[in-house]
Amino acid sequence: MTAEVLAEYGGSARAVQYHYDVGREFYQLWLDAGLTYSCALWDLDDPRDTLERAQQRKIDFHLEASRALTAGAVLDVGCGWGALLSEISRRGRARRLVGLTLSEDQASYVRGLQLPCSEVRLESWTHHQPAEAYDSIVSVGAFEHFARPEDTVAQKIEVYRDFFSRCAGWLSPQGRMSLQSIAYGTMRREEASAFINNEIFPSADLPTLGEIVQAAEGIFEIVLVRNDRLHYAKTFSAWAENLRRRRLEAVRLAREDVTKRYERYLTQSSVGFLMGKIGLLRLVLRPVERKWPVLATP
Amino acid sequence: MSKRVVKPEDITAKCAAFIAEQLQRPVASVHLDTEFDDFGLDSALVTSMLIELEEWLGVELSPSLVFEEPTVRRLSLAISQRLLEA
Repeated sequence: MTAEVLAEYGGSARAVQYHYDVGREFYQLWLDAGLTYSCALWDLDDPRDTLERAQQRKIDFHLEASRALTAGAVLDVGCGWGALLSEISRRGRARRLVGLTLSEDQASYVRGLQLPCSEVRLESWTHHQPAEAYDSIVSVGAFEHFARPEDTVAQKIEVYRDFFSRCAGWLSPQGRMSLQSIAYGTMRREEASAFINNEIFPSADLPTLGEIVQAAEGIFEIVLVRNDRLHYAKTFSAWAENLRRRRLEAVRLAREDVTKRYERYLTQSSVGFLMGKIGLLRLVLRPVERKWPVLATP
Repeated sequence: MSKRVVKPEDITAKCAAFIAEQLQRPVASVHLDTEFDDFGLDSALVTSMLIELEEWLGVELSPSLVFEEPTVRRLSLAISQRLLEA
């Protein structure tokens, strides 16, 4: 399947490529070595904590929440550059690892890692048809791309509900899902920054916690929800600091104007999280349409 | 970017002028001890202010600094302190 024919519903391929295909080398300048492009989990009491350690802690959180290390089959919706899949491959016992992404660069990079039993698909979740059930689904930093700014709230909830309902259907009886997404905090949808909306993440609209909860109702029960917005403020701040340090190389790779655009985006995002305008949600979910013995098992 | 020697008053004046211009109000009405959120600055304006100060002074400012030192006076003092240490 080529990128052009990927449907807009559930996440625009063109918009995702606009953001992520600036060039991996550019992201490599300021992300951690594992290329984890999402909120880390910091030890906020430890001033000597590092981005590398915080990203590893975040990965561990999702692996535990989704029980990915003991799973036979794992799906990563929005697998990025494969940090989670690599870790599961290294430490888990999965005989099937599937990653979905809409970014051609990410797909070819993760394929290049040649993780045993892994399959990376340049495919939207809206087209995914699993060969067998998954025991564990992880989705980090993809949910943000599912709804469009022109969608009504009801349409947004419908897209999210569609996503949840498919995921629940793909999960084995004891399956678990771990989800991480940026969400609106005190910022209302109409106030969303034109800069972020148009220049950084075009054609994407954030969820609210309420919309996620409504969409999950009757499909997933929410085992855990946490808002780690200060963790994202710190992550963005660390990325900005890294980009600053490697600025000359960044300009050489991606031009001055693109570098400037990213500097502003990283700083403004950090400020937005500090203000509580936007939040960072991590949710652990388990399907509710299950037989009694399964529902009664922790 | 080159590091410059600046007095806290210079930074104070720069911040006050920035806020006055962005919010289209007289500089005299930008009180140095008013907290930034009471001015109604949004994340885009706070970011612009940080970037402008960074480019002007050639110093890196963490976004959290604006929240730890939430007035023009306190922020300017903290930045001038940082410039001395740099």
